[in-house]
Amino acid sequence: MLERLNDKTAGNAGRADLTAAAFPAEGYAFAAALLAADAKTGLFAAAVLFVISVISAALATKRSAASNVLRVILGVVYMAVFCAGVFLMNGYSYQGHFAAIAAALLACLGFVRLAAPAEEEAPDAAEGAAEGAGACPAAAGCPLHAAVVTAALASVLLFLCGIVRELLSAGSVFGLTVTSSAVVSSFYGKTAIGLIAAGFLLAVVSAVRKIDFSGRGTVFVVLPAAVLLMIEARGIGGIAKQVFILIILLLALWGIRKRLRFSETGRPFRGMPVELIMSGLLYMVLSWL
Amino acid sequence: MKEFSPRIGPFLRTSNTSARIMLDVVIALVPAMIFGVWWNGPRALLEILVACAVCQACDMVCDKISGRDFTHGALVTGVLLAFNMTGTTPIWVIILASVFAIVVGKQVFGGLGSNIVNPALMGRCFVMLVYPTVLNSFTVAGGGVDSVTSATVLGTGAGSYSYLQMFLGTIPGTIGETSKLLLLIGFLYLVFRREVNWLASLVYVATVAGVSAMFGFDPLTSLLSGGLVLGACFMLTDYVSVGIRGQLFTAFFAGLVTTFIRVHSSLPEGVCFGILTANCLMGLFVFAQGKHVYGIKDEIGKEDGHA
Repeated sequence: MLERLNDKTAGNAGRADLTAAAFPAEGYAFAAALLAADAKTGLFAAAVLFVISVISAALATKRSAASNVLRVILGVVYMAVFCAGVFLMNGYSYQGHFAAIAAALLACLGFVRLAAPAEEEAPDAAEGAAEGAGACPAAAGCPLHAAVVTAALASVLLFLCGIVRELLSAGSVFGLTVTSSAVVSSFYGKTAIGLIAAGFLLAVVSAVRKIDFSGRGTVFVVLPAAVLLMIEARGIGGIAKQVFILIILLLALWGIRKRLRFSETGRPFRGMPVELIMSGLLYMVLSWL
Repeated sequence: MKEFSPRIGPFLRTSNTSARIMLDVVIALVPAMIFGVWWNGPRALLEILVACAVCQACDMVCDKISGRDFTHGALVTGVLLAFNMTGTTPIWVIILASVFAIVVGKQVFGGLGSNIVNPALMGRCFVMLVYPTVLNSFTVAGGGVDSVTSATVLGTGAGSYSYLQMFLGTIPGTIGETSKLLLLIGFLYLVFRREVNWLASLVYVATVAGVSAMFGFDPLTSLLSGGLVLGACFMLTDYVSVGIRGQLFTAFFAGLVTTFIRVHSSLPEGVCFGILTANCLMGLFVFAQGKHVYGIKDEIGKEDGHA
């Protein structure tokens, strides 16, 4: 009986690992940090990432069933929809056009994977793009319903995150003024708070779905976000200063990752969530630069 | 069959517990607290009490959720956070800052002893960035005057107040930063109790004084203005710093950043960002000195079996 229980526990843990691999955590974190600064873009990002998650999970589940041509078409279509959508929403988005570049960066990260396939079966473009959004090849075998439930939960949280941040940063929801309280501050719409919100969002997903985000690519979220925000905040001038700030940010993050090994971080916060929160705090602390 | 419950060390304990250290720090802060309440008016006491209550409540809830032992460390955070606020700070701002300081600045990283940055300073940083106008007005109620709103020494420049005024604390400022005399008395108590690394504090103030003089500023005014003494005595010596050498290097770096912000930045004060920046870079300092940590292999990759 004990053996059966152990098998069941191990099976559940394995399933949770697969779900974590299928979940595009980097994509969600990026969307929470850059896109979900208001309700409209939050809803948009949540919808797109839900679709990406489901497609990624479906591709991973039926890896040998879908033809490569179909996968390429799907990959190109969803990235095109993502970019075009963000461009169309430029007028409403906090970081509008830069978010489109961010989406392209995410795709590039995935396509880089194509150049160096570590698996026996080389990943195709769609898988590469899915990896760019955060889904791992290890997701093969993940039950589709588990991936869908996780993606749905994360998407709802992302949408709620957008609502709360718009309420706090502008006192409105979907552009309709709700309050003019003194609590309202535009800082709640900025990326520092976005990164902290992304960390808490992933922690909630981790706690509810019992999945571990340790070892996920926080730098893939922080680096493009930092670059894009510097371009937005300071223009393309002062490149040397921007590079200096970026180096300081990454070095500090690297040092903190080492130190976090000795912290008694709670299980839901372990890995990517706490690193994202720390990145947000770093943004706040280094704002004097 | 008898149940076996494994226990984790340390098995040998001294009387120097974290609870006792926290109590000592609170005792050390009491003189400056009394002066702060007298100088800023009874509202300052309300701010201190609210900050302590909210910090303690958040700490208790987070400890309960994560199954950790409850400590009273949040009381110190609450007092220090209130010390960094002005006498006119709205209570809801104090509440938000306290929640942010404990939940985001401390508990997310594992609670007492695991935090990367000083939680009280993180709370102040939050207020400075999110509600920047809140910390701009200072109400002075002590000395028989009902209420006067005034700029700080850093805002008006040297010459506005005498050295004695700055040392005794009869100048505008946040609740806990003005009376250098009482802060130093509290600090001497901590040194006497061997709770703090006084050398790190000395390196910090010496760096600020030295670099300020290099930029042509009066070093004594730099030392006696703003929250430098509060930061040096009670914030820099927080246990987020690792090892004596690391603490000294952190103090030096924090001093450089503090002076740089005071000289070049538009920010009203550099102590908060100076110490927080040094806290964030502490990981680099520690790993740059390459000291072997007991129980950890030389190359982290080897431990995980990657090398």
